[in-house]
Amino acid sequence: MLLRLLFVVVSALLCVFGLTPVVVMLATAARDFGAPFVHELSDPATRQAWLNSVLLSAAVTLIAVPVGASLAWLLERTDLGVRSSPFASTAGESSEWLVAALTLPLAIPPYLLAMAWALLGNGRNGLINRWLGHAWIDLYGLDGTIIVLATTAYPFAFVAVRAALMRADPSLEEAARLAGASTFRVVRDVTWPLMMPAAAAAAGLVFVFSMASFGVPYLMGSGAEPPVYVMTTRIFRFTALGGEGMLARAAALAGLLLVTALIAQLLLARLGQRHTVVQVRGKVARPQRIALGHWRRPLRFAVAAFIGIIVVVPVVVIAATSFQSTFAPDARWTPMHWQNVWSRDETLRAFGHSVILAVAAAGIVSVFGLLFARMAGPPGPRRTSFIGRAFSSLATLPHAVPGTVLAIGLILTFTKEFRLIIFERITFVLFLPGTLALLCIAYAAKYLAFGVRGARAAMDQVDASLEESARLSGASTTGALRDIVWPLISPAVRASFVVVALPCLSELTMSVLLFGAQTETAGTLLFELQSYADPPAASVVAVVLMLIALMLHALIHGAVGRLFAPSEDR
Amino acid sequence: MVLLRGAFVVPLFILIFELFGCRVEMGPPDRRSHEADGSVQGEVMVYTSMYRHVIDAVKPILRKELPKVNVRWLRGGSEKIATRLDAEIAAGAPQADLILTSDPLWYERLGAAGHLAPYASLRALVMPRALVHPTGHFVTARISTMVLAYNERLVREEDAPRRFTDLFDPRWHGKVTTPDPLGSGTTFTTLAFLVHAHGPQLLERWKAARTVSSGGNSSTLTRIESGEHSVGFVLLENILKARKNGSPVQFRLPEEGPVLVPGPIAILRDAPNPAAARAVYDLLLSPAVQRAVVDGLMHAAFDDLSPPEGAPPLKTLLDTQYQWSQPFIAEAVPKAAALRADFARIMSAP
Repeated sequence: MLLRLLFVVVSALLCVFGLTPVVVMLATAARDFGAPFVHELSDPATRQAWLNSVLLSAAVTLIAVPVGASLAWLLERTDLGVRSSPFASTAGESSEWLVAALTLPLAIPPYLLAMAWALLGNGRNGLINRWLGHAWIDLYGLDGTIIVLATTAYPFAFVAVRAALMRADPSLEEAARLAGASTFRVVRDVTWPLMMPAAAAAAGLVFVFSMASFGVPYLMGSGAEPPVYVMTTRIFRFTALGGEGMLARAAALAGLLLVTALIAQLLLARLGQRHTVVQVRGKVARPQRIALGHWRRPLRFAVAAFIGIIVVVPVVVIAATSFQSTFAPDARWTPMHWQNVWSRDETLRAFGHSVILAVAAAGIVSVFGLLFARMAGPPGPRRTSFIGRAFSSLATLPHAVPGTVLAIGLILTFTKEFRLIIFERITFVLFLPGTLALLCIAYAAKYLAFGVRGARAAMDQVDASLEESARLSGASTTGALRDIVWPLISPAVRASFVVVALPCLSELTMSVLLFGAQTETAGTLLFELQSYADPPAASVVAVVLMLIALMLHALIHGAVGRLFAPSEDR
Repeated sequence: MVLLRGAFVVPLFILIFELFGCRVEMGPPDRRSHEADGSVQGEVMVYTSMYRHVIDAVKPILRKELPKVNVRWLRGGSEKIATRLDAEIAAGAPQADLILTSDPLWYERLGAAGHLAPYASLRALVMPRALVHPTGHFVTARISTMVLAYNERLVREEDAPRRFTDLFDPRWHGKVTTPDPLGSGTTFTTLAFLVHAHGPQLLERWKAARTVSSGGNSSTLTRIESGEHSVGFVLLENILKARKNGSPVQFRLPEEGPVLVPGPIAILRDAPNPAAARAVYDLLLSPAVQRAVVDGLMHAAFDDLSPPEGAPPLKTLLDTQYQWSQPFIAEAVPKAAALRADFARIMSAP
């Protein structure tokens, strides 16, 4: 009963806060019998931008998901990341530092990552080319956009697949091994199907993430000669200066983007469903890790090199820039940007707001994601109800809308004051413009997809008989969800918490349109420094954001997390 | 037991509501308190793109001169403010009383659509004529100046471009960069002026020079500063600011004169608190505030005030080929959409 009531409440909340802005936006584009749609579709520049967007997203997905999934497998199923000391108390588990390092790109605003790569790899005087002495690499253009975006997107797959492997029953693999299967066969026939639903869900998210991304394609794509535009950067150029009918054109493009993303998600979801494997997991067992033997050293080196190139180099460049007076090659070293940033009284407030918002939005997304996933049906694949499935797909809609467009939709919907007067005495005033609540709604709506997909992929792996037997033994739906299903899928929920919280910390695209006079966030601060006051000072904000992200990691996964949840043993 | 739990939940919800800025009012429903009794008090919301430190310098002046008025600032980029206010207007509830950003063409559109309240401030009488809009819908509160920029480590002063059109000479091919005219209002204004003065074939030369037009003024400055490009055009205030940090980017006034981008100030027609808004408007044009604008490295709208450190005086800047004349506005506003389309099409060609 309580569960059903919750379903009604979250569905209502989703409709009001998540879908209304999208619908309002689409209605703008649908005026005059859809003239803006027709106009956009007949424009060759739109078709080119659409093609670029699809190419970009497909390529990023094809690179990021295999990379992320392989890293997850290496960390969870081999002895690659395990500390070799037999005395270490954490022996048998991969180093949390390794995990934190591999997910760090989530915490860096993609725009700044792109800036770091532009300094490193532009074809004219990039640092790499200067070190090597000739023009060796040029990251501007579609190819560079794909590479840089892939380095920001692989953690989605890494986190999701790692969570899947953590909750997968290791005795399946052990049984295969005992039955005489080779390591390769175990991976192919047992581990791979276990990873597949999570990998497919992650592929859907990465695809949509790439389609909706703006910062990287804007910097790397429009900085090329000739410039390369994707749908989001084209939308930006319609909305940036305003003007007659521009909003409708932008909305039409957003609608087109939405449809493309939906189709892609549907295809990938089918792929995931076909390979879903049910597994019953009674009690927790540590996986038997594959000993890599003489492969361990080169693989460790390869992973270290990967982290070095993908994570450390841009982070070092960003950190170094924050101590440089200018972007000139011969700039002085100076702490002045740090002093400037921290002497502003709104800096601390902005970071405080961002942390609150990130935690609140990630919390909402995790809980709602779980509920929507449960609404789609009880655990186990192919047991989903149509209405539930429809709702859980609807929940992922806002993610496919570019941030700018979603923000405009929210402004159009919630600028007015809503008053609910009771007994002529008490007035509830819902006045959202410029409040943290509106920002929180925007973040939660944007990232709800992560919660739903993550939780559903996890539930698909839990055998329905577990919940059924709990119900037969007299547990309520809520009780069964709490005591049986939750412990099995909590790694996935925690994973989606991290995946949502980190980008929310530095969210910029929507924040700069929705913040209020007293509600700056780290993202708006970063945008202000980057585009007006002091570009190098923006990297100060980025460095602090990365530190906060590392602390968040420590809180959720590390020592502190274990303190608070001692029974949660993997 | 259930009731007890309910008693907990209601205050909790109210707390969450309050925390996030929603209100619950006890008592009979009333309308907004500061509405139109004509006195100068209450809250004034200013949407602005003024620099944070300029606002910080202005705050004490406002508190001293208008103690009863609580001025709230929403600070953001001109384009973001415009997007936000346009959406609020479309929703039928603009939240700002005053706007002070830097895209005169947007103010032209707002004025023509009837969203601005005409107001004749006494301070506007002593402003140079060119900086006051004839309909009185807005006047200039500060001035940005688009100038030529070059990296003095890579380009000697005598070799640097002298006119805007020099940028597209063959010797600068592949070395020139500008902000994106479709992403930044000041840059679009510059593009409109250049095309108005030199004809539409300028776009072909722009393209032939393999110009990279991307991002805003600060990312363009970064590209010249890092040596990725050698020359281009950027706002003067960005260059002055960067030079204070030791940047090698130097500016040059074009021989035909710079492109002036006045930062207008206007009162919204539907301003919730017009009386106080007018008082703040007057004060923002006062010498004390205008001096703070100059400290923010932009020119004040009055030629009796000194220019920013290292910048030429306003009189020199006003002597330019690119004048905000009625013929220019009459051409630029209706043709804006076509110019944007042309620019996008020509630059994207392979």
